[in-house]
Amino acid sequence: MKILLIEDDRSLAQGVETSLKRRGYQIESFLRGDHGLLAIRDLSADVIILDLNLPVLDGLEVLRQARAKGVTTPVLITTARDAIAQRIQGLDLGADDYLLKPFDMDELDARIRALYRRAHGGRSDELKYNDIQVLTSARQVYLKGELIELSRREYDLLLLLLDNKAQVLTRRQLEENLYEDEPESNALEVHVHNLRKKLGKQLITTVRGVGYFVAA
Amino acid sequence: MLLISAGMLWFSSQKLSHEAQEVFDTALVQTTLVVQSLLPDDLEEEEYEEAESILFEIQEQYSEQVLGQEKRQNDRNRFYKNDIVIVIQSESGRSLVASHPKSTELSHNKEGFSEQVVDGANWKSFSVFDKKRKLWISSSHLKETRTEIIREVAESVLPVLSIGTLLLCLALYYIVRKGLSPLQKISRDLQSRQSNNLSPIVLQEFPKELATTLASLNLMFEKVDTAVQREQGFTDDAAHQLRTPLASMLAHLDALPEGEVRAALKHNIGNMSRLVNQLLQLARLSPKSQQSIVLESVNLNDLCAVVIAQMHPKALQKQMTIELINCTQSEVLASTTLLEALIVNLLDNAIHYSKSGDNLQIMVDGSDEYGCISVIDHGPGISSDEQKKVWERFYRVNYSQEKGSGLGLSIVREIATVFNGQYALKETEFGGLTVKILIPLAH
Repeated sequence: MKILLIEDDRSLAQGVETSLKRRGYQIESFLRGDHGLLAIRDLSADVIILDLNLPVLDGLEVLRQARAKGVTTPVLITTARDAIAQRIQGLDLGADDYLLKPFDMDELDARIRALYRRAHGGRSDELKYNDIQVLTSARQVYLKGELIELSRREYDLLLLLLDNKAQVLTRRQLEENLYEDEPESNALEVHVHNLRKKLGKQLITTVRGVGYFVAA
Repeated sequence: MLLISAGMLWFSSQKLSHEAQEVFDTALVQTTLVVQSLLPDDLEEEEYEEAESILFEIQEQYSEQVLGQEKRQNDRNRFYKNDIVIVIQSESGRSLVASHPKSTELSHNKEGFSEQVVDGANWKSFSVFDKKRKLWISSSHLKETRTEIIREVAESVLPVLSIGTLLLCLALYYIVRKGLSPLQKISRDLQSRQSNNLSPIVLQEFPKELATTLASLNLMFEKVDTAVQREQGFTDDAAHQLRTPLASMLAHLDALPEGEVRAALKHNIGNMSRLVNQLLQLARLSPKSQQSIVLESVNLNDLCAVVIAQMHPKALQKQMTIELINCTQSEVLASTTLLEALIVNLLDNAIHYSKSGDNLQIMVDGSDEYGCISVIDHGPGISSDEQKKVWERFYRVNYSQEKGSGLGLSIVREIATVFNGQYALKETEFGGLTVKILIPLAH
């Protein structure tokens, strides 16, 4: 996978470059906004990492001009300023994701993969978690190789939790994703209960009063 | 002021009546003396009639001059109540010459002023005894007429005076008020503005006398404002400047092999990032920034759930469990971003100071006025001596193993203050610390 990094801090650029190379990415970095813009046009990168505070040509301007020229490559913005206005402006101009400095390299890696996956037709067909196997195209779930019957809601819930491993999803988040209307008050508990019964007690952990998660 | 005016009016009416009495008295004296001076040395009986007509003429003249008596139509016998009547009497009291038949009824045997009642009417007289001619000469005047005249004068003057005084009072009040109105505007402006408002006072019109005061006041505001902004700008810039090198360190750290060194470095960089974020939060709570904070209705329960979900990985690293206990649903008046920062800091603090494997409870309840969030930990707790100090910036609990920035609770306090909320610490049952934050409900 080819990454284009436009970052004016030489030391940070070097660190990111080394780290991403070690993780198997191909990476080119530029320190100036105008140079970065030319590189976006000339190199066909898979993901662009763009700092907002750049000399000569500001990051938001680079993004605007690139999008105006029809570049559709996913762009991940990084910035030291957490001003919400700037973040919204960036997303409005066509940025795909946003990362606040300082960021962990694992986090950056995960975001790059997510962006790449989104740009190249979404998830892979097969999803594995411990001894659970999910075939997304067929909406089939296997436990230790054995097909398990799940309802539509149970399947959606399982996929949501597996897609956000190690992340607690609040009841409201889950309900908003699973139901169009306000569900009955204990509907979610019932689905969780059924999933545990069918796939094992340990699969889903409850955070009392908050929501559920699947351990990493 | 009205009291003073009333007093003034009363005084002038008294003065008026006194002066009027004097005018009448003088008229009596003058009339008497004029008559005396006009008398021939020897007044014969046959001259009485002539004398009477002279007296009548004097009476006529004085009555007219002094009392504004209308001209009579040559009817000597007709009595007008305004008349000054003159009489000349013998030593024995027999009336010799009288300007008017009525005056013969009056008797005079005492020099100077005297008063007597004849036919139920009060008379005031002035008498002189002419020693040479052995004659009493006196002028008299009805007392009732006097008081009536004084009343008439008073009645015509006092209303005008009263209205005039009242108008003067109103005019004075208006002028003073108008003159003081710029001062009032300034004091209203100062009273109504929030402590963080350092904008200059603007007045459309103000007297010249106020110009320097106003200018100095505004200059002071400007200086304080600049200083505050500079300080805030510094914190903001410094914190942002620190983020890039921190990111750089994290990136280079990735090249190190897994192990203690890497873990220690990562931990330190993590702590430093936390400090930078807290400094930024404090900068954002500066008076200047507070002006742009808009309070809205926020669901405390939902926000707590979101923050707990977000902080959960950190708790999991210490094998801690977190639970949210929703006793009531509370919609509070707050800013989502700041309230989130408040809860993050509360949880961050609690997780930071808890032991591995501890349980952390977050409870949302409330009263009629407040939504309440309590973070109940079972860590080492804080001695009551230290409970007040932990709200201060950079204060660290003495014995704690974990190093914190000492900023967490001071951020919590400042945010709670922005929401007009309250904050308190107490000991958790069976040990530990409970932090309680009350925020007004949104109603």
